[in-house]
Amino acid sequence: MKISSFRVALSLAAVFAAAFSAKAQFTKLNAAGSTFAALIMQRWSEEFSKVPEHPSHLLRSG
Amino acid sequence: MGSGTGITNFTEGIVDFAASDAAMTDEQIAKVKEGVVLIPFTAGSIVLAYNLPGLESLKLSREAYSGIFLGKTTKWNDPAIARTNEGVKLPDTAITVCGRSDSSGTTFVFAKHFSTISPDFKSQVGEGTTVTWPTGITARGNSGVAGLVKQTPGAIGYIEYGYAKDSQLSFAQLQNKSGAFVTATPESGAATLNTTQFSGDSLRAWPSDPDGKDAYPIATFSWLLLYKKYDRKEVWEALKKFVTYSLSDGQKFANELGYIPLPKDVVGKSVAALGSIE
Repeated sequence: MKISSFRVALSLAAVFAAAFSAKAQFTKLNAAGSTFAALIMQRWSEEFSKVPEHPSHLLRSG
Repeated sequence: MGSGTGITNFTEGIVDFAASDAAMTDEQIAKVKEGVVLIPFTAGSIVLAYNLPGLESLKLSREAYSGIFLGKTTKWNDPAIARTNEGVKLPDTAITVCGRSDSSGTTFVFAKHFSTISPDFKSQVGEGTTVTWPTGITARGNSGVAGLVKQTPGAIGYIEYGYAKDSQLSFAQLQNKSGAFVTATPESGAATLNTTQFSGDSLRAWPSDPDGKDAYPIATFSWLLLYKKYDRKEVWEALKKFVTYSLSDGQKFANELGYIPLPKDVVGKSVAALGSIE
């Protein structure tokens, strides 16, 4: 499957989800846990989505 | 939400992965039928942030900070605090201890440190992701505790260093095992991590009371909890890309955000562990 975009959702409570989209196809990742690491995880999700091979939209919820 | 909930949700299989500063015990791992791979992916220091307007520098001895969290030291001008802050005008203000109400890896690391340095803490409070604080008020998450400290004059609370930076909270220099007073910085945190050896094949270790005069006394790794086998290959493909990024380019954001970049040998071990996942 060719991954054409990457999305990350990160709530303030450090529950996050990432979704990869190959046109109509999505793979959603669900996760939970540490608020200790939430600040850096949030930044990674933002920066990762800027990388050309995983372009995209940043979604936030929370 | 915190590490405790992360471990629970991961064990129940309702998430694809989780993060925890308490890693997982062998007993917890045994309950996960898919198998578990623990990967250190970041690290940070736990600071004691306080709200004393006008007081930007504070040194807390091991005796002082143990006394505060045990509820024995109740005023900021207590002799146990004054002794190490000569020339500083400490207020006659009640100390409000701020802790975590949720199951927390930050609490786990903090209580483990306290239990190592204080027999009274070990017997009266003990270790765990949830402990009953003898005094004070509680909130959920690192951001919740940071908020409590920010809005409560006289408060002190334990939070990851980045949250103190982010909230512009002052935090104390803490006395380490060698007797030196050390500020939390990426360098002092790295000095702590460098004292840590993983045991055997496990990538688990906590520097509960590090040696070294430059070592900050309370720092920890944080772990990703991953399954050994993912039935949905597209899930693992997506996750592996993100984890690989966090272990490589992602580490460069650590200093700026108040975290400690992973030592290179730890990155190597984490990448190797990632390769064992199907």
